[in-house]
Amino acid sequence: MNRLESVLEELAHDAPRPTPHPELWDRGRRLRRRDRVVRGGLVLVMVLLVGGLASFVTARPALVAPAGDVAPDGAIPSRIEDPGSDLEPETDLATGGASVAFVSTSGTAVVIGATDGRYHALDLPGFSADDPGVVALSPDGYHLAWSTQERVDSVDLRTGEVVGLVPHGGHGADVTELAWTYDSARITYQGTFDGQAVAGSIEPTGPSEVEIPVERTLATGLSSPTRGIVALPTGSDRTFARFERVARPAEQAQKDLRSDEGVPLRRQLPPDLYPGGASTRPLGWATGSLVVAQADGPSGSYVEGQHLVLFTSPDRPESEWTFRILVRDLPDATPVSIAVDLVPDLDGTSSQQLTHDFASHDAGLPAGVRWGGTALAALGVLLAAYLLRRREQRRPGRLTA
Amino acid sequence: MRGSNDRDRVAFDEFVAARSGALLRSAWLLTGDHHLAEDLVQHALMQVARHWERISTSPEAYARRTMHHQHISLWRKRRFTETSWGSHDAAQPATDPDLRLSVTEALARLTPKQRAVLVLRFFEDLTEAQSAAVLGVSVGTVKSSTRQALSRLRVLAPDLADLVGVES
Repeated sequence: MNRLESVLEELAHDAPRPTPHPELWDRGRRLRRRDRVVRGGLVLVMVLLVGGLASFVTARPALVAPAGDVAPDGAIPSRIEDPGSDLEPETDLATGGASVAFVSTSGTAVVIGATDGRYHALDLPGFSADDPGVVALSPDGYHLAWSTQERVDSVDLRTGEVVGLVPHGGHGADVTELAWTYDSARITYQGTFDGQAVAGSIEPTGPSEVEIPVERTLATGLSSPTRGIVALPTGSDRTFARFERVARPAEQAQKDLRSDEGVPLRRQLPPDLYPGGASTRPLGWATGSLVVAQADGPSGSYVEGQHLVLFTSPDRPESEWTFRILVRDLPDATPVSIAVDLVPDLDGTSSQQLTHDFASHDAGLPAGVRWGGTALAALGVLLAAYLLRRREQRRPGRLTA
Repeated sequence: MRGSNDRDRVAFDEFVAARSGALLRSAWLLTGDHHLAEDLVQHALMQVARHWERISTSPEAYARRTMHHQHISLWRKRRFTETSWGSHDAAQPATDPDLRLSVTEALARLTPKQRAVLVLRFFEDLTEAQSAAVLGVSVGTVKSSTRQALSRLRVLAPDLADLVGVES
């Protein structure tokens, strides 16, 4: 032993005598129990954060309404989204009344439940995702019509029963347009057969068919319930929506399609919304004088892109004219079909809600909120991991100076 | 895995009775203060009780590691100026003929790590590797810290020049 060791040994004799606290063991065990609780809590927090983080980042906005969020009488949803290929097609077509129907970008027919906002991808007989036809929802939302190669079929969404026929007198047609009459009783179609344009009106419950001369506006437009007005589609960048007054009452015009009288009418689109005009495609009559249409505002419009609008027909006095935007940002890929009977009667106030926000706290979070929340969750995971590691490192064996 | 709680408690009590004195002497050399030394040992023994089942090495080695770790943590909080043995950094003239006081004063002017390696190497008689394991540093760090500590002792207390000699 060198002298330093000797001196240190002597110095150590000045150390106090040990007097260990009698409760050392109990105190240590209490700390151990607390460690277990804290560690378990941190692990739980990490698991929840990781799970929440994963679902928050990866999950698409749910296309299902939250439990309990229903519109008992049915409503048009305030947001319509394309589910793409996320939905598994359902073979049970009895999904109940629908508010919206369209063909998704994956080629699947999609309907949205009228009372719950739930999305359904339907496995329609003969409907091919590779070469999808067109779909049309009846104004009352209970029937969905679709076209396949040379056929037109419809299903009663309450029962799942399917009826249909081969149009154009059984010869078949390549159907490009489908629409329901205002009373949800008949389907009108447009298409081609051997390169020739054809049109007709089908009573699906029959089924039976009445052919329509293609030059008649009834072949391309939607007749109003009462006033003999037909709403017609327009091309791009028009400053007005097209209508035609038929010479006879609508009911007679339906039965006797030989009349070729018609008076063109125009409904000016609001120039402040569409300074460069827009295209409009009527989807149905919500009332005898209110039309629901799909509008496409070009760049520079107040509302750009595909959206749903409601406006008064031009046969009404200007004092009664109204123009409302129902749903913005429609899926680009396909025209939508609306159960226009679900549009409520106007109460004359501009604040009236004409649609229902089914998934207000579940879907459609802004991207900034989603990513900000993701970052916070990630920080929480890192913090929890750091705290766990710090607790482990506090155990002796790691000295830094 | 250690036995039931009662057996563990008995084993712990036996350990405390047998080794707390040795631990307290090391703590005294580290801190130079009776109260700080007692606190250091009490804290280390409580940590041993806390982690009794998970201690794979001897409880004494665990307690010494805890003690040294806690000592350095406390020193960081209180900083050098608050230690009880003064804070002069310059070499002091060897006015006091009592060698123990000179060593005491010189030890007080070492860093906590330097003091720790001296206590481990020259009081607890651990090897460089054992000292490195206690401190959680590399053997090279133990060597360099020992060298620095001894050099500093020579500067602070020239009378210690023949005290330390060649490192063992």
